[in-house]
Amino acid sequence: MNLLSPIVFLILLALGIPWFWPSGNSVLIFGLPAWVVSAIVVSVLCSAFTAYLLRKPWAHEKSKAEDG
Amino acid sequence: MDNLPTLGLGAWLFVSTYLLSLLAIGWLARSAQRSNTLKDFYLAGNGFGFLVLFLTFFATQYSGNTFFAFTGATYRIGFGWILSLHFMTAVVVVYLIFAPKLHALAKEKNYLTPADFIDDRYSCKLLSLVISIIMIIVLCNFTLAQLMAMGRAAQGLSASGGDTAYSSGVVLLALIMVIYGTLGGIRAIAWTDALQGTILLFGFTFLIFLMVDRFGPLENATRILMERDSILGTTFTTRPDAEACRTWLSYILAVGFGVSLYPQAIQRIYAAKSAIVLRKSLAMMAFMPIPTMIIALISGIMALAYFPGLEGATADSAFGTILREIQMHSALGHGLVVVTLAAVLAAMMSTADSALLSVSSMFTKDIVSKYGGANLTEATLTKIAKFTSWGLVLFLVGLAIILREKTSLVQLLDRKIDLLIQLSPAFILGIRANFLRGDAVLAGLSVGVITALVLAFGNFDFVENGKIAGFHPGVIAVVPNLIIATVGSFALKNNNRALE
Repeated sequence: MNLLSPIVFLILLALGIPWFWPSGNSVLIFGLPAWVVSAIVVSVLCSAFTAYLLRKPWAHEKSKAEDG
Repeated sequence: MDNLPTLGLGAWLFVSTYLLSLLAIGWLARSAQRSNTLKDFYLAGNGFGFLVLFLTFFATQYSGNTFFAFTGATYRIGFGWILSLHFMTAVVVVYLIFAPKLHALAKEKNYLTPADFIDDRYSCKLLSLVISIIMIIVLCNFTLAQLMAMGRAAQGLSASGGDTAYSSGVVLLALIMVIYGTLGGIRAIAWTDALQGTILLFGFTFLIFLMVDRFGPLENATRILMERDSILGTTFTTRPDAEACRTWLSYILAVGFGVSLYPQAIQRIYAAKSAIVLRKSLAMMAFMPIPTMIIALISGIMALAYFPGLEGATADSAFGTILREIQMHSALGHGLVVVTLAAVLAAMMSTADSALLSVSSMFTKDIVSKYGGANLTEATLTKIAKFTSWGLVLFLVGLAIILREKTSLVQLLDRKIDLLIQLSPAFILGIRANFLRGDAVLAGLSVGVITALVLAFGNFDFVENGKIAGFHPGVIAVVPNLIIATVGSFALKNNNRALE
């Protein structure tokens, strides 16, 4: 994990908790309250970013490959 | 779970065939055994490939009880339980911090139990003993909860629904579990997990379509709840208030850092065949909260909209109510409910068997092998491990039967996360920060555990629904734990320098 990754996760954490939504909002998207959809979207982004980070070889894999 | 749909003869045949297939898998795993050693019994010689590793991670982390409990939680608080999606994703995010290095170290130094890392990292016998004991206590509670859930499921499924059904269910399912577990060790558990994970994925994918077929679009249910909110002043559809937002944050931290340290999960990191296999399995796991948690949420919302009135603990039966409705609605629904119920049993067994094997490994390797006196051979230790599994199952089955009415003891299980998160400085910080010292970590851990337990059980005015200003006692207690571990390590380092 590089230095940027924790910052991305912190931003996703801040956006994933719906503290910033107006409390009286009654808009529905796909049958769900808008704040729920926003939480789901952020969670999907978080999963995608995690999977993206896991796509890259880990440090010890690289050093092993170099040794090999 | 008392209102689960009862099964006909065909359905019982399906469930029985599934249960017998688990024993057959146990036998096959025994044939695949390469050596009579603890490493082969508990880690399958570090040989898990991608599919088996992914499915065993999945089946272990998502228990059948989770579906009942999470649907029940949605029924109680409404859409706010979407937070479960965040905290289950957080578990995989936390793995990113420590799994790569832990996997490399485990391969290099042949770790078997979580305490092997602690021994290697800190060279502090007392710290590794305390950590093993905490993990064993947490896992015994966890296994007990799964056994009790199995009994309740059996009770719900039988026509009589009495105490005999509960006891027979606990005994029979635990017996099957311990037989395949001791026959083939982790190999049998991972292979049965793979079968159980597949049934889980299949059952719950189709469930969502049948829910919409039976109850109509989700929007209708949401509008019913919005109307109820405006008339009765409930908050099922409104966004969480400030305290609830703090609880979201607390859950994300507590579950993320706590669940990632489940000993059975750590042992799966050890057992991965290679770093690539582990990376791929974790990448898949990162997406698994989306279907599973959303299905649990939708089930809870449908039950809340169309079957109001389940109060308190009975809200946990919301999932059973939904299944019964789907079963009565169509022939396809009937068939699917049978698969779903097999999936629920599968999920409970796969979670319990992994926990059981993990306890047996820690007891054998970290306690008997270290403090048992004589130099025991690998074959003797493997034998002891199998006896431990049987003894433990016997003890926990007895406890599950005795405590069937005492739900307050089940509530104690909620504290497992509060305890597990106290281990995060030792593992997660310890693997990255070289300055951390064993004595300081032990002092921090002791203060953290005591603080978490005192806050949780102390009956204080400022503790509301087991939380302090929305935060779990464990999350609050990990702060002094972390401060003592880090500041203490620096102090010890400076002290040593001064002495030199």
